[in-house]
Amino acid sequence: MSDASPPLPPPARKRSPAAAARSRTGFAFVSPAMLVMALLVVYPLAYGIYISLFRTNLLNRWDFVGLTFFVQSLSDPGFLRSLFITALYAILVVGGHLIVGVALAVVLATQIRMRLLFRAILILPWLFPEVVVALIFRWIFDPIFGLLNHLLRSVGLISTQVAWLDDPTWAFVAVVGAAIWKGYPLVMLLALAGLQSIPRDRYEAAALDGAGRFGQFRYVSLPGLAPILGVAVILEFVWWFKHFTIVWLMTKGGPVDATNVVSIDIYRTAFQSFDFGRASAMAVIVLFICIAFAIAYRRMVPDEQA
Amino acid sequence: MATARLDRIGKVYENGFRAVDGLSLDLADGEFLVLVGPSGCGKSTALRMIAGLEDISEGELFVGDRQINDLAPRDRDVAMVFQNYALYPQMTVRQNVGFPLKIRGQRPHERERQVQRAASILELMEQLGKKPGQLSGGQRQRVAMGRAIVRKPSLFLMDEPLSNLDAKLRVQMRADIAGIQKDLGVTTFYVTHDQIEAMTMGHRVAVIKNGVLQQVAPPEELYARPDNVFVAAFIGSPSMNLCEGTLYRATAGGWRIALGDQSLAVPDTVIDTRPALAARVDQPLVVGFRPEHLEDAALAPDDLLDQRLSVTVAVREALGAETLVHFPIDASPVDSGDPDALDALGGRESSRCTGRFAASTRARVGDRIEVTLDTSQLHFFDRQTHLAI
Amino acid sequence: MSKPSAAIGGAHPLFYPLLLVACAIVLLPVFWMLSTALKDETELFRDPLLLWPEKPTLAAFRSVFEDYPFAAYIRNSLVVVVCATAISLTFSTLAGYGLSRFRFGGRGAFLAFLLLSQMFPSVMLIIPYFKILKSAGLLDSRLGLIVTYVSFTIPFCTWMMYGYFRSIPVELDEAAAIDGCGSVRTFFTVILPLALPGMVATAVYAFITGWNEYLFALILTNSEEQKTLPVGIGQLIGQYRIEWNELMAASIYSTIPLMVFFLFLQRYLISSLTAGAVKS
Repeated sequence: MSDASPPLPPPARKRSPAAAARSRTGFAFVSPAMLVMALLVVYPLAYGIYISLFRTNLLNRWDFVGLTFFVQSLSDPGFLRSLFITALYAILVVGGHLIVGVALAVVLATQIRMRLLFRAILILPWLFPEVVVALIFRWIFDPIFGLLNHLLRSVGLISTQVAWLDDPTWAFVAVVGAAIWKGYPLVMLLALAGLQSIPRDRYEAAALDGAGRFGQFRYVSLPGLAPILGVAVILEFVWWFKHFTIVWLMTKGGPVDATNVVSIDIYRTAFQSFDFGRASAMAVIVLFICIAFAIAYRRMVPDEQA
Repeated sequence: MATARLDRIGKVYENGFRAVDGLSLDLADGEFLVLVGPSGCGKSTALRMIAGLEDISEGELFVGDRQINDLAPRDRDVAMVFQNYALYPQMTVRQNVGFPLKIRGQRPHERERQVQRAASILELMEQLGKKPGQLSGGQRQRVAMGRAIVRKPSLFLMDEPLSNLDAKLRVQMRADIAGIQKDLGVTTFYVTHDQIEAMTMGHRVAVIKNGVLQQVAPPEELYARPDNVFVAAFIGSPSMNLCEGTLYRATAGGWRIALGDQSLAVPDTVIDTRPALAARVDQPLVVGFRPEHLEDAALAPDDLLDQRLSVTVAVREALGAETLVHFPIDASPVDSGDPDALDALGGRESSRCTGRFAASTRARVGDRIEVTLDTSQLHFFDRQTHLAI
Repeated sequence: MSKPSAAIGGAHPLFYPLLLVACAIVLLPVFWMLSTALKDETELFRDPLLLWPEKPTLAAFRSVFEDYPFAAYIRNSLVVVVCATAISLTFSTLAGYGLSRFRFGGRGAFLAFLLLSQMFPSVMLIIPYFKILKSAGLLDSRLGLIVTYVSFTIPFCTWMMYGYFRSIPVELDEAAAIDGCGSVRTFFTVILPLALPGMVATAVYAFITGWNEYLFALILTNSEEQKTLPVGIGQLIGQYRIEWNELMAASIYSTIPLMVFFLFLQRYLISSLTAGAVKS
């Protein structure tokens, strides 16, 4: 045991050159992507916000109007209505994904015969491009030659041809349904992975404590799934809030704006009315809504950032 | 081959937490030094600082005559065996072991020769073409060692290499590692939380607690002359028994020790060899005695007649070669500071003691028996500082 | 009392009908797509409807190439998406590694931005991109689309690779450092080979995203020579009479690459998707 008192305390190092070198290396690895993102994401984003402050046709007319468009949009019943429709759409679609996805995952997690075959079939919708999904369903809902009308008439549920996509309510239902069909496999896969990561002995403990099938689902499966699904729900909600393709190709936002989700509203304002400034302002508002959800997401999974 | 010196090495994190504090060690060429301590005591951090995987916040590190604080790991000429082996999964055993040589630009011919040599020392000849995923835990451990020895570095660093192996394999590998180190003569730092490994493998053992060095000495000295309560309790299994006691002069002359409400005679030599003890008469001290110095009085009815405790047996563990008997005594317990130590049996008022009795003992649970304690083997520590007296 | 069985374990008899119903709902549109594609014009608009063509024909599959610049659409999609994927993958792999191994100024902000960028509405960026590409003369060009696609696949790919690298133990880097490797060598020799599965999965997801993309391609291209597959298909609707059989044939063509990927890489894709998720 050394005992001699040293004349000077050893030098305390704030940050060694090795740590500085490591930091530089890390930065080097990241900088190409950072650069690209700065150019291709941050810059256009900033530019988009800039555009929202002008009345412009992007060619020769640039009138500074400040926050006018923001104020106008937020007090425009049409825009507010489309926000509402979009929120409703997102909630219904994501809700549908959750119910269908989790239900199917629970089934697929058990020892069903031909499990893998079923799983392969049930994943199919995810592989279809959104364009294709929109068109197939549009064809199915066709008033005269659509499969749906044909099937319903053959079993006697309806007597005349129904123009589904021309009726405001049914058109909405149709786009929601198509989106649920297209998107549930992702949630199903996540739920399946989540279920398979729950240790089996938790179920056994619950069973011994007297929980039946439903009890086990409620007290073991759901809590175990909560973390994964929580994250998935937030991402899904944002994703379907900004959705465009399926709705556009099936109904173009109609009939009578019944399915006028906000992306379609912005698209039309920009590329049919050529009112780019206003459209940008609307998009910025949507951006803020999405960021609000991003913050909610961060609160849920804080250590992602560590 | 080289000497190594740590001069007041310290590690402080951004939040102010001190993992290692003022650690100074001097290793001779070819020495096998074991760093031992409970989990979280900073021993792995110290090892990683020597390897260059963590920055050294304070102090200086020397290998040979060179100060190497700022050198990158690859320039330090050290080799390391990781706790989880860290073998490259996509490479064969041959490629894993030969990797350090390949990086240093050795020709394939020469490389293969060295790999063969290492493989034969570690009995890996059959495994050379396999990948780590196809090997057992023990084999992987040997590949990790092979990768370390193939380079003939100045320093070996081993971070709990045996802790992922099952007990029997561990015993065998202990001997193997110690043997290899002796043959190769490379200066070695070995980190473990297992004090048995420390005692059986090291030339010297350094005991660490909360980042601070408690004592560094050869194993026998640590065992026989611990510098403080922590070392006394940490080294040795079963642990040394610790409790409070008071030394006093008997009315009829001679020394006695009071442990709770019991009193035993103490030979004069004990006090004569510890001058500082004389000044502590009649003050409460921490008293320690090893389990092997207790014995069932029934087996030696004429010995140590005035060094007896009257106790009730609480637990009995028959190990075959000996029997461990646990019993409480009515003396205040002492917290050794080891976070992994079990709580005292019997609560706050009494201390739990363990004795190593001969297998022929008839003591049963619940029996009230007499136990002899060889008081010439007592250890004394200051109650406040926990330092040995 | 019946034998207690874990919920994950035995199958309830009701499960099979449920699965069959679900499969029927999935397969019905698929079947109908196939059936429509195999019909010729006369069978297409029959009343009552033909569930399956009496005379199945591959005519639509051929005529879609004759009546429209379909080959151009496919070529454009392939070129744009493959290039964008390759570029994104390269940059994102490097960045993912850097993020997972090193601490440096701005790391936290960068990670936060990666996450945030997945929340940006495409409509938000469409207008500035329109203007920027127009000013750069890159409107209606494959290069312009590549640049655009890179912009939204890079953040997502970086996030995925970051997650994947985090699952590779840092101890391997440490062992390599002690064995004598510098950072670059460690990355290429030791870590990159282990990251290949993750890279494959990331590349496939990027490919799928780009292949399906509609809105940007719609706005940023207008000549038939430059349009991508989804746009080409989407506009097949705007004709006087919608040739549904050709539409469905085109749809089948566009779905084939994804099916192929999925068939061969099923396990990779699913496990990396879920591994990242489960870990978070």
